[in-house]
Amino acid sequence: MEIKVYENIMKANDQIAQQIRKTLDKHNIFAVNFISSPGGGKTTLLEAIIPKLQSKKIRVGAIEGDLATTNDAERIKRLKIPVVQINTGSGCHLDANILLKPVHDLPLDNIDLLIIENVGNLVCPTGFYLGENIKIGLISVPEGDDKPLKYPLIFNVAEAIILNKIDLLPYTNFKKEKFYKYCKQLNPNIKIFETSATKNIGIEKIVNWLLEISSNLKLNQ
Amino acid sequence: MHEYTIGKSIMDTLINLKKQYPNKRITKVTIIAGKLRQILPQALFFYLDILKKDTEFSKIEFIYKEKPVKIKCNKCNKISKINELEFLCPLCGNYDIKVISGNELLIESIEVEEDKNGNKSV
Repeated sequence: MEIKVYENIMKANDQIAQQIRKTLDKHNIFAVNFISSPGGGKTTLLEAIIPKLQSKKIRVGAIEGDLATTNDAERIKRLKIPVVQINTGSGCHLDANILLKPVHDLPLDNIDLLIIENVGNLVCPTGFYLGENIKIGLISVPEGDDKPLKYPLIFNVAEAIILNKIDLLPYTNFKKEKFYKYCKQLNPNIKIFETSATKNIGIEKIVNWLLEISSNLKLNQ
Repeated sequence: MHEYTIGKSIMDTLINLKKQYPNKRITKVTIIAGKLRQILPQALFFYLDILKKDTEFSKIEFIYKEKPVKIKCNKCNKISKINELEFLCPLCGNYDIKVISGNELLIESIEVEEDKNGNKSV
């Protein structure tokens, strides 16, 4: 006998993510799920953004997802913010279940903005809701201007895309017009920021946008 | 790459579903996945075979159905099926579109039969 069930396979994940969402709401925390390929420059960009947020009296916390090592957490820790490292072993993304305990290990009363740096991977992390307010995708110039076509989902679900390493534009055949066109095809409302984390280009704009979007969302609650 | 976790989520979902049908044995499971989920069916089947081994679900046959990406054009208001690489209305060429399907990930149906051995079937 066949029974139609239409059961959401991601239900277990989504229920835990809702729990995380509730905890974050209770502490009035705005959370960003930060996704990119390995080597795109996520951690370097955070090293540039976080001090600017701190100078605007925003208390930042971070969760660092990696297959192995605590290298990224140690880098972020130098900025004197609370940070937890998650090592997923062979897991190619963070899911809500793996995040649940580390979230509670953070001093939530002392955090306004939580940055979840996902495992370096452009495919798998996009499918797993972690209880965040927004997803931000980061692409770096050497990865190529056709990334939106190859990995459409992140462009479809992200609130903003950061195009990093723009100082390398003269050394590649990356065509910005093409990249923008593909991004807008996938998500007409997407915000695009151009940065070079190492040369400190474009950082202020992201910081201001984060402040704007997080206060808007907080007011809407 | 994410097929293992999805396989694990499918098995967890089945454990929960089974509670609703305590005297039945699940024999077939139909999975629906939207094309945007970027799932490789062969990899998913590979992990499902490993995950179901030595469980009460070891004999389940899995069927995989892929759903195409469908969009609604905000200009001409028509719904079309699109190639996943061309996010524009194929009828009027407009880029202002809304994706209305292609993100699904669910168990559509299960097939069950009477379980003569009660709950002890392994």
